[in-house]
Amino acid sequence: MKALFVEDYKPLQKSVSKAIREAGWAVDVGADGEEGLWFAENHAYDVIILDLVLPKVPGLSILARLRENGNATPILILTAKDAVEDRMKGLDMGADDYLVKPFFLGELISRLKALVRRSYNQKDPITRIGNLAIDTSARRVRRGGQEIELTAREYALLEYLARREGQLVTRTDIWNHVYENYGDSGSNVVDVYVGYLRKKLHLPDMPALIHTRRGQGYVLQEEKSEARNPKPE
Amino acid sequence: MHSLRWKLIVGILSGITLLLAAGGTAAYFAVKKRLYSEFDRTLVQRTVLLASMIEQEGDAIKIEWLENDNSPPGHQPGIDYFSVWTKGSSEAVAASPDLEKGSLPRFGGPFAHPELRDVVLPGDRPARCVGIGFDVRRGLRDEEGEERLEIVAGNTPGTPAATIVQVVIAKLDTVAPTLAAIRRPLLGLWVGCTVLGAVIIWLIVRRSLRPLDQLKAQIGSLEESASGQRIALSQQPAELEPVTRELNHLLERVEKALVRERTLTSNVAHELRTPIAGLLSTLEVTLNRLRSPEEYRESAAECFEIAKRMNWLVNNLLSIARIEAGNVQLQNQEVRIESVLPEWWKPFESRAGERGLRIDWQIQPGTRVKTDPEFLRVVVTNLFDNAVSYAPEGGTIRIEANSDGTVSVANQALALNAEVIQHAFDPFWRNTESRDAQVAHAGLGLKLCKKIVELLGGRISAQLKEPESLFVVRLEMA
Repeated sequence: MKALFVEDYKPLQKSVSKAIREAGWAVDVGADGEEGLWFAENHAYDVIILDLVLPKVPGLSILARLRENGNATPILILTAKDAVEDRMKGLDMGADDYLVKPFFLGELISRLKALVRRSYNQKDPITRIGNLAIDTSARRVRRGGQEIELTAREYALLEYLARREGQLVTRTDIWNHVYENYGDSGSNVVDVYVGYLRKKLHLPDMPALIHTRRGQGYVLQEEKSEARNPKPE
Repeated sequence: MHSLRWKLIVGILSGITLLLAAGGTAAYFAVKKRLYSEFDRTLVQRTVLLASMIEQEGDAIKIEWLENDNSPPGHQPGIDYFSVWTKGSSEAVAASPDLEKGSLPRFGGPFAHPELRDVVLPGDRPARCVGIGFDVRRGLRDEEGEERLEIVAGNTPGTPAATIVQVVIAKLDTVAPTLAAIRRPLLGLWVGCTVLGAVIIWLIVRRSLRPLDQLKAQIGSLEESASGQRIALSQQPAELEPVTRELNHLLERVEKALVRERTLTSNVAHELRTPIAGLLSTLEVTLNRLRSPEEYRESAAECFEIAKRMNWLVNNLLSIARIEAGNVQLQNQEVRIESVLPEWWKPFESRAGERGLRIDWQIQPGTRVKTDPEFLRVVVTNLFDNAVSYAPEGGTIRIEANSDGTVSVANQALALNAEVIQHAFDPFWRNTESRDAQVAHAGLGLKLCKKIVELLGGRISAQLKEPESLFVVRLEMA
C-alpha cells in the first residue's frame, strides 16, 4: 500500500511518514500544495493524507481538483481546523475522513487502513485467499495455520497483491503502490521481491498462490496449477 | 434610593400640593374679607339709620325706636345688641335687655367714619361692633318756623367738644362660623386633591417610564454569544432614542471586538495545535518500538526545537496580553545600539549559519536611544527571528542602525507582494507562501512588535522594495 502525505510542517512530515513506513506501507511526502498536487496527479496512491492550510495551493483546492478529474483515491483530511463547518466542507467536497490535529499516530494508521479496506471492498481486516490468511491490522501472515515471517517490503507486496486478488497486477502497479518514488521502475527489483515472496509462501503439498503472466505481471489467487484461462480484466 | 420615578412623583406632587394650598388660602382670605366687609357695611348702615332716629325735643333726647317695645326696628334678639349714651350720663340710657344691665363699650366715630371694633359679648361670643358719636342740636328754624334737626358729626373741628349721643350697635359675628364651615371642606378638598393627584401622577409617571422597563427587558434578553443583536428603535420616546442608539453602537463595537478575539483565539489554538501534533507524533513514533540511541537523540532534539518554538509563541502571546491589559511598567534607559544589536543577534547565529545566511552590518557608531531595553530587545529579536526564518537560503540579511535612532532589518522575501505587506501587522498575519513549518508565528511576532513600539512611543513600518523583493522593517525610536 502506498500513501501520499501532503503537509508543510517538517516535524509532522517526518514522524507521520516514519510511522506509515513502519506500518509496512510506502509513503510520498508533498511539502506544499503544488508538490502534493503533482504527486497526486502523477502517481497512483491507495490513500492521500491532506493538510488544509498549505503553501501555494490550499488543501481544499487539491481535493476539488482531484475529484473533478475523477481521481477516486480515498482522502483523509488532517488539519488543525476543527470547526464543524470546516469538517462538513471537507467531507462534502469529497474527502473520505477527517482527523483533527493534534492526533495520535495509532489512530491515523488505523483510519488509513480502514479507508484502504473500504476502497478495496473488504470489511474484514483478515484477508483470506485459500488457506492463506493475512491479518492486515497485526501484519501477520499464516498459511495452513503456520506462521510465515515476512520482511516489511515482502509484506507490503503481499498485501497489495491480496487487495487485488484474482486481478492482473503489472510491475508498474507494484512499483507505484509498494515503492516510494526513489528510482526507476525499469529495474528488476519487483521481480526479485516477488521471487522472495513466492518462496516464502510455498509450503509442501500446497498449491502455488502467485502466478506469473509472462510479459504482463502477476496474479495472486488460489489455483491448482498455472492459470490457462486468466480472468477477464 | 435614587429613583427617577419617585423623584418625579414627589416633585410633581409637592408642587401641586403647594399650589393648591396657596390657591385655597388665597381664596379663603378673599372670601373672608368680602364677607366681613359686607357684614360691616350692613352693620354700619343699620347703626347710621338707628342713630338718625334719635331726636332732641327741648332738652330731652328722644330715641324713637325705644318708644315701642324697647327694641330698634329689625332687632334680632340674641344676635344684635345696642347701647346708647347721652352727654353727662355715665351709664347707658338705653341698652339691649340681653346685656343684663351691662352695656357695650362706649366709643364712637363720626358718621362719615364710624368706628368698628371686635368685642366679646357675654357668654364669650365674639361680635362686631360699630360706634357713632354725634351731637343733637337744636337746629335753625326752617321757613315754616319748624325746628329742624341737624346732626353734626362729633369731633368735627369747630363744633363743641361735647358729644351728646353715642350709639353702639353690636352684632354677633355670624361670619366666623360661616368661614369655619367653609374651612373644613376646603381642607378636605385639598387633602383629596393631593391624594387623587398622587394616584394620577403615579399612573402617568408609570406609563411614561414604561419604555424604560421595555428597554430593560430588551437589554436583558440580549445573549452574550449571538451576533447581530440590536435594540429596536421604533416606538421609542425621543428621550430614549439617543440612549438606544448609543447602546446599539456599543453592541456593534463589542461584537467586533468579540469577533476579533474569537479569530485570535482560534488562530492561537491553530498555531499551537500544529506544534503539539508535531510533538505528539514525533514522540509516539519514537516510542512505538525500541530505537537506537542515535534515533532517540534525534527525536529528543526535534522535540526540543518544537518546544522552543512553542515557548516563543506563548511568550509572545503573553506579552501581547499583558500590553493589551495595560499591565506594564516601562523603564527609560539609554541603550547603546552598536553594542546591544550584536549581543541580541547571538542566539540566531547558529540558525543563520545552517541556512547559509550572510549578515551585512551597517551600524553607525555611537548610536544611542532612550527607551526600555527589555522591550526593545523583544522587538529586535522578533525581527531577527523573522529574517532568519524567511530569508531565502544563502541570502543576505542587512541590519542597519542610524544615529537618529532608526533600526532596520532587511532581507529578501521572494514570496511577498505589496498586498500582503499591507496586512503585515495584522494579528497572526502570515503569507501562505512563507508558511514554512519551522518558521511559524511571524504574524504574531510583527503584531507584538507593533504593540511594543506603540507603547514605547516609536514607529514601525514594513516595506517591500521591488524588483529584488527586499522586505524591510524599519523601526524608529523617538
